[in-house]
Amino acid sequence: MDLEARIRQVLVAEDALQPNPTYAYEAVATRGRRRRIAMHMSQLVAVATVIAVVAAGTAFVFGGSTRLEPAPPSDNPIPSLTEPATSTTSPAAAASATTLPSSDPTNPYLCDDTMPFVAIGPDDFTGPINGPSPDASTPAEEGQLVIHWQGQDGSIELRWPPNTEYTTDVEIRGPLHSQYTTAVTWGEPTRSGEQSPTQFLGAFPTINGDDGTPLPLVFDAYNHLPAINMDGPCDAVQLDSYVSTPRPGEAPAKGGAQASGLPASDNSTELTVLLDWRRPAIRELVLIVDSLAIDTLPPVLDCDTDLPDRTRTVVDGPSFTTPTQALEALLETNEAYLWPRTGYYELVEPDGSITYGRPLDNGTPEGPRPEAGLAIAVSVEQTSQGWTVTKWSWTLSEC
Amino acid sequence: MEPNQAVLRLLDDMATTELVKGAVTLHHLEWESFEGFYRAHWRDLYRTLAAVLRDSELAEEATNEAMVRALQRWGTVKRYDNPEGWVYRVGLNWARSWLRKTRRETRGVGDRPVNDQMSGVDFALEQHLAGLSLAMREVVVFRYLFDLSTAQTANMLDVPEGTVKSRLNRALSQLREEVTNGS
Repeated sequence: MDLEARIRQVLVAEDALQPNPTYAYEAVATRGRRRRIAMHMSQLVAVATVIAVVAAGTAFVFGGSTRLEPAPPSDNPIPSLTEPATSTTSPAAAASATTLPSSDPTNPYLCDDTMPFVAIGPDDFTGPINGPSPDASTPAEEGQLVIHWQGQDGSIELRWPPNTEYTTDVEIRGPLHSQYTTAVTWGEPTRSGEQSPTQFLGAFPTINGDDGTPLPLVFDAYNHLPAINMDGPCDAVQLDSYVSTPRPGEAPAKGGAQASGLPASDNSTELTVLLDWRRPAIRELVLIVDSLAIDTLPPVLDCDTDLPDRTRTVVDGPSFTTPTQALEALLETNEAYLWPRTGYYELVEPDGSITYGRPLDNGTPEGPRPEAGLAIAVSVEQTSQGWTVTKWSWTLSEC
Repeated sequence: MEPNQAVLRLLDDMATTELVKGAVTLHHLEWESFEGFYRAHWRDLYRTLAAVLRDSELAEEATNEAMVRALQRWGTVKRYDNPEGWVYRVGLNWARSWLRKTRRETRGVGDRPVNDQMSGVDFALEQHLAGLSLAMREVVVFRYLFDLSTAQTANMLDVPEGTVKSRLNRALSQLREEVTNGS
């Protein structure tokens, strides 16, 4: 019997062993109706509110950067970095998958009517603009807060919560470049192409299609926000970047999101959306949270995904005066564009080896601790020329 | 007597593969109510999730959760070309998230949650199938248990056909290697 026939035989046999499920329509309907009623009560007011905001013609104003745009007349409170965000809805209550969402009739959103962080868009982009990006393939879903930035090279969009299919999953979709190889297949939902086990820190290459024209960078990233510490769909935000490759002579467009408590970069050629967490948790606002002496390095936990091996040995990387500078430089590369920019622990082993570890978020009220496992680990070594990154490992959060 | 019990018996008697195939042939079924959709698809959804997850209890919870979310957005979901695929993906994603949070989604033969008993038909291959990632296992299940074509599977999973082929090829390669090596 060939392999495929054997596979079919096994699956059929397993299928026959499955117990009969319990018909549960009434329970499903009761739970579903409760959530729908809470949402619908707010829809009537929501329509009028959204129309009023859109009619104002400009975007919501976020945060205290020097690129503030005039505040539109609106009934909604305008948040800023100097004023703690207030919401008429408790995020935890709104986010729990097993409790009712907000019953506040003035809040049409499943999670909240303002993003739980300050989002600062790229310098030459307009926004944030309320509503989906014109490049988006799907409209906003019920209860979803959607904003976007529009630039000459494309747009960037944030959705909270993510589209329903992805509310409970952290997944990186869309074509990711293969590490300095040529066989990149676009259209696959995950990476493709030959993976090199080594990385050379340097400029991101332009990837051309068969006709020689640069291929657009289109990828979807669903970033969990451990700072929010919510359950259910509101613990994640969906970030979509619809940006074409950079103009010649400019730094490559990275897209993606950076979590940073630091001021916005002055490098206007870098395409970033800076997400400044509002929560005062120090671990989310500084690069290095603490320095710890450890006996052994906690593991970087692997997820059961189809992503490629995410351990890289760095060859001939640049050297820096301090180990944290080496870490910061790595965070600026395209390999790390989805990595958080804050919340790392400096882990020092008995032989003096230093690893910067970003803990796996285990969702405890005290926040993540490195001993429970790492989502990111960056090893640095001191050579005669300075500190350099020698290896890094990365897994998805919430694994 | 439960209303529409005759309909339920009819659905039970029909070959499930036919129902699954029907779900992906882009019939524009206009359900008068969510109840009709639930009654027609809850068992198939459970069966599919149970086959992929190899965990009947988790599959049942995921089925119910996916249906609740479908009802929550029924005005939108019912207009999809393939609402059955949508609820399947939502159910699987919910189950995947639960597995991750409980740290149960790990590679390796025997590490997965399993039903109370193995089928015993081909124990070694059964364990190798259990060791596949969820992404690979679901394409294998759709192909070899439900006899869906590449296009039909791609439609259910909302991924390109190339992705289905790629995952299936990788799954078969992995299984072939493990069976050959007797690992």
